[in-house]
Amino acid sequence: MKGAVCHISCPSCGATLALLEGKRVCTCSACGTRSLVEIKDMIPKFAIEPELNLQEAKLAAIKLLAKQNLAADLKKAAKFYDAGLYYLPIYELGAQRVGKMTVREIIRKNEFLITKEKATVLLSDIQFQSPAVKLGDWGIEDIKLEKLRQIKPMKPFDSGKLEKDAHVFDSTLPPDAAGVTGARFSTSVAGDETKFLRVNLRIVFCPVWLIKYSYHNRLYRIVIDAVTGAVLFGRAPAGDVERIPAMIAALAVMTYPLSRAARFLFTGNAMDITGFIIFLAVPLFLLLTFFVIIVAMAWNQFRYSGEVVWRGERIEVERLNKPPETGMEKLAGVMLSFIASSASEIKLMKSNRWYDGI
Amino acid sequence: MEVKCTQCGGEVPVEIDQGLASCPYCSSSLYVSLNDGFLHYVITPTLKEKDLDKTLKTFLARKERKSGLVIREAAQIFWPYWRIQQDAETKTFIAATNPITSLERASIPDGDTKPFLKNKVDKDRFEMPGEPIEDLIEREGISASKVWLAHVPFWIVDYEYDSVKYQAWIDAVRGEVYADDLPPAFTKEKDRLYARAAWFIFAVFFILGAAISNGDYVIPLYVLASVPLYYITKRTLKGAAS
Repeated sequence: MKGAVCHISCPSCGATLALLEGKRVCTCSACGTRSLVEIKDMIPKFAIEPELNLQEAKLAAIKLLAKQNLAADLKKAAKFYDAGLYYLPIYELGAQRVGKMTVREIIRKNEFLITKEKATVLLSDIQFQSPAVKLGDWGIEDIKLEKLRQIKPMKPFDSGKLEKDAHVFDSTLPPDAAGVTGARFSTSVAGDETKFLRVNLRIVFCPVWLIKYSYHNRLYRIVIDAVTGAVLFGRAPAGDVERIPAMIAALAVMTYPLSRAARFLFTGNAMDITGFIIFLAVPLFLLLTFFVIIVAMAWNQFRYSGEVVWRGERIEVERLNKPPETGMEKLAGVMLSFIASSASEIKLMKSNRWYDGI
Repeated sequence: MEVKCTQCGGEVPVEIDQGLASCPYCSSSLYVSLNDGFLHYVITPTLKEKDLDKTLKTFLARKERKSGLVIREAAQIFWPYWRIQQDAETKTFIAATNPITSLERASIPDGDTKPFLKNKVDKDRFEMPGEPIEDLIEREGISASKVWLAHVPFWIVDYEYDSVKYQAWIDAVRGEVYADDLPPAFTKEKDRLYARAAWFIFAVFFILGAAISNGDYVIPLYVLASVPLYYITKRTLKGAAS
């Protein structure tokens, strides 16, 4: 195996240095000399310590489970199962943008167009972050480092200390796969004479609480940001109070016009009603399609029990074991595509007007 | 993997390909930078044996399988995966003969990694790669810039349902379940039951709508009928486990 193993020693007395990742100033335990350590190509590591303890994380989970639209017996049947603290690594690429930027402005002055050049001097810090592991596996969309740092300061990464009571995840996505290379900072816009200085990459380990609870022999997970207390991911059984009423309402809406039409067909003047139906064939078909869509939606809710999933700000209901397309959905699809194809045909007929050839 | 400490000559376990390692013997800090060869690591399992029953039941319930399974045996195994970086992309290959077809979907989970130390692991639990990495790279025509060998922990669970034996592989980090055969599903019975309930509601509304001559009475009647219909449907569906 090729590669390099370098020994890090105090430049003053030669004693070994106990260096932490992310730490740049190190004090020699033998002679007390303070040294600035710089290793080329090394990505320094930092960590943010949790603000929430297990109890507080549990409370955040309980608060989430007290929300509306969840299974009615959730409070009674849900039991805390397990919890763990995990550190997830996130890349942070930073740079300083310095330079002059010229912006051209076209101004109308007394009916003349004047090009005006405006130069601005830029001096700003730019930061870009990207997860160093597949956060999607956790159902997490994003962890905003900026928000975390507002609450807790970043500290040099001390693997031994963190691993004592938490699982520390190692970065598995290389920097170029995560898109955190210097290439991200390049400008090719005319008039942009800025440069990116002090481009630096680091890994910040962010703590999250993984809370598992059981409900009727099933395990559910909730991931809580251990600094801000925000729910990063959550899953819970959906309530089913409205399942039957939804189906009844959808069927009532659909059956009412159908049954009335059937009554007229059999009891009323058949000739009149036939003319009526032919006259109204198009709106009736549109209406029928609309009813089928309503019933298809109600069927999904009626037939398949759901689970509420939180992903950051997004909340959605997943229907369990629902095939990609149910029978009703297929029917609605066919009807809709029929309408779409007829509509496009009508459009075609209108555009190729018969009298154009004369 | 181990490197020799430059200070005392002791073997230092390394779980990173670049960064700092600390010698366990003389506590000096070493900076390690590996450019060639591959790093062999083991992912620490987080799923315990007591979690298997619930994990499996959750998986089966979501797929509308009958509950009432009994776990007969559970064994932990570490299965090898190659992780190869080609430019900015990483590819994963299962490094030993695929034990079950559905394991093809599996990817290497992220996790707490530890270096693979030959002398410290229980060899019976570690499946070793079936072919050298050079062969795989040549066969697949990859220009690899970095290679890792990851041992991913799985639970092999033998369970019984209705005195029929089934096997499932459970990823011991994320709790994902992989299985080729599953107990019978009650999806079709459930479909039929729910469809029957829906047809019944439809029939009641249709008869009411068609039988009454004065259209003004139909809607209030629908509202009145909804109440018994709700309870009838609820009773009909009570038998179906959700």
